[in-house]
Amino acid sequence: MIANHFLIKGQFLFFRNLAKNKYILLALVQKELKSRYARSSLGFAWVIFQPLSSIIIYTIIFSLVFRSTIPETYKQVPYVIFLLCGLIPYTIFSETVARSSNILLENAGMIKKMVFPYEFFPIAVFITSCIIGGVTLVLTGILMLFFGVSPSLMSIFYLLLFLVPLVLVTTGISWIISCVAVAFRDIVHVVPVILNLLFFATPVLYSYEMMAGAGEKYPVLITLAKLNPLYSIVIGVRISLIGNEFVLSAGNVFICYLLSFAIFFFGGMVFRVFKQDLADLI
Amino acid sequence: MSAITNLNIAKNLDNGRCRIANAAAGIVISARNVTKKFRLYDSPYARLQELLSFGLLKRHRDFWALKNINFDIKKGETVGLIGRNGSGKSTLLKMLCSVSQPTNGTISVSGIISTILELGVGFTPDLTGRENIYLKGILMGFSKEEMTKRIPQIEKFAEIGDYIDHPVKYYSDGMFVRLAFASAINIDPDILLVDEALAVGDLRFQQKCYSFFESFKEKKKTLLLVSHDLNLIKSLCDGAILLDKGKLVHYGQPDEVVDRYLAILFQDAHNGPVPVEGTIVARKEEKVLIDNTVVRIGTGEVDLEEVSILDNNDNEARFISSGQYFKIRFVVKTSKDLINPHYGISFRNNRGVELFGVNTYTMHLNPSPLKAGEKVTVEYGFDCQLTPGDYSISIGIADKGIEKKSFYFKEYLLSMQNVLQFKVVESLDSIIFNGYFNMKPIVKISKSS
Repeated sequence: MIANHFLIKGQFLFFRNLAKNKYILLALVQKELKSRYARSSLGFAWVIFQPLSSIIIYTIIFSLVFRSTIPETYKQVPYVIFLLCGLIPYTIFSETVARSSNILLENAGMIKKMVFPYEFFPIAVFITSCIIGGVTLVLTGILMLFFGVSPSLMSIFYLLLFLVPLVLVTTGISWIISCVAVAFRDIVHVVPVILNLLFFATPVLYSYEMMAGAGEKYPVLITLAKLNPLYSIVIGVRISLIGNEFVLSAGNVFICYLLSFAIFFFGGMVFRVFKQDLADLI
Repeated sequence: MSAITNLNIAKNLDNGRCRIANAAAGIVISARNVTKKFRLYDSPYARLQELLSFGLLKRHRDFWALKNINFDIKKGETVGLIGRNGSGKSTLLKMLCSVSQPTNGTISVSGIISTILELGVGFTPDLTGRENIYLKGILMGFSKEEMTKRIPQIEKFAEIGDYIDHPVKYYSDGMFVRLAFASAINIDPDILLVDEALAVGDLRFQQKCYSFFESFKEKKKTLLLVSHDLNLIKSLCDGAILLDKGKLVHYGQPDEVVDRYLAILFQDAHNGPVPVEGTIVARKEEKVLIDNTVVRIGTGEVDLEEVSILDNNDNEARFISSGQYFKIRFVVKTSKDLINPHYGISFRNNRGVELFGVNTYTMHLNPSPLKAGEKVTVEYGFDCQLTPGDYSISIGIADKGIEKKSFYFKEYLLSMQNVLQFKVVESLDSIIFNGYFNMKPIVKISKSS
């Protein structure tokens, strides 16, 4: 009974609510963008400047200072492109989660005084991160053309294939983080630490092959790393953009999907439990 | 219309509690056995301990903010909600607008609710006033077009000029509340909940709000108002609810409820901090008796036997013409020894404003001690310089003043609010004046050459 309500029905209601109240979500995204950029002198130009500046820095550092080599699988592209392809999905995830840890606390005033779907807050954050991620992706595409690397036709299909779990995992985790942070403010301090660990546990800086090589002594670590849904997502996005061959097994993708759905549903459930008392806790 | 359906769908989906109930009886707000419990933790760590112990450790105290509240409010009624700080008023309002959920019991509300809860109604500091209004409207289920239509009205009501396009964090408290109020009322709510929001606005804006409340009433819409302005409650509301310590003490006519509220406040004042010299005699349990509209608070050891208003010729009078001399005579009986008894009297006008209050202690008089069982007659004489109107008299008796020039006593024995009413009528020879008192002006006009 409870499981039915919280898991299946609750999640369906969420989708219906999302469709009905898409304007609320839109307004929250606008608010999020505005509160990030609108009060700075350059305003929304930062949506482009920020990723652009990081890309320039990475390009300079990794083309001139550190010259790293990467395996065959990735067409021998410059390391900076290799890095960016993994960094985009990871940053979308980490930015959303980090920001979610205080999104509800920041909007305590609204939550205490109005009734609306609070679960849209982390989603609005996610969409905002996706917008910035999208800009970075476009800039990366331009950089790829500059370096003479062209994505394959399958890119779009693969990107979509890995976008789904990215949406699910990020939303699920952000739901959990955002509402637990209301009851336990410690989360705000814990999240950066975990994200830091996760960054090195996910093949963003290095490739799958490099990880496998280093992990020969500790096969357990490899297994654990593969259970991380971001593992498949990051590698998947990278393959779609610059890969020569599909190095993920169907099993990996399956586990990734399974875990993503589980996290999404669990996150939704946790949020619904907290939602009742949100205004009292905050 | 689309906004209304939108909102209802949003509410239904959201919590499933916004039911169209009691429609036939015209009841728009109904609370049944509403109880709210908060868990108080001494520290955030205690909360973690309790969570990690999986129910083995109890590290919180239960705080019952509201207990078993029952009431109905009909469409078109204006109801005041009064009570001391911490009596649960705001908690109740929050539950009525579904922001917070009752621990037990049910609340049903039908119609579009708009709220002005405390200050700010959830504005985002970084956004401009205009952006905040849009955001609020959309969160409430209105479309952008509808909000665009309403913005000019809101701007006009708020009267904050160009500030509407500035971030609200630069607003003064007054501007904040103006905008909050304007945005809350201009979405055409059926029910408006107002939580002491008006105290910050300037006088003109307050008057504007009052006249809005009046017109809101005329439109047969429902208003629930939390206020410490008892005059407002008396003059505006059809009924009032008194909450104390989370319980509904009384729901009835505003006058009656305000009197009970004053009784509670008085009791509280006796418990409250009083400048002390030496020790305070342990107070007997206080009783609050209400017969008709007279509120009697006291230890029960002293009683007022009779009170009368007398004119020049010692005849009882209920009408005093202004400029006339009159007396108030009352008889006090005590059942205990009083060492240093004092008798006080105070006048209030029909809006509850205390116009004049005095006692034998502040008048530096020294009434003689009383033995148990003795009776004493006190007579106060006044030259009536009050403006024509209705007045009431309250009488207080206390023992042992503490400090010269103050109204503090070691022992408060009896306080009776509004024991007698009388009317001051215009006399033919009196001058006509504005305000509360005739200050007996002396005018000299001399021509300068």
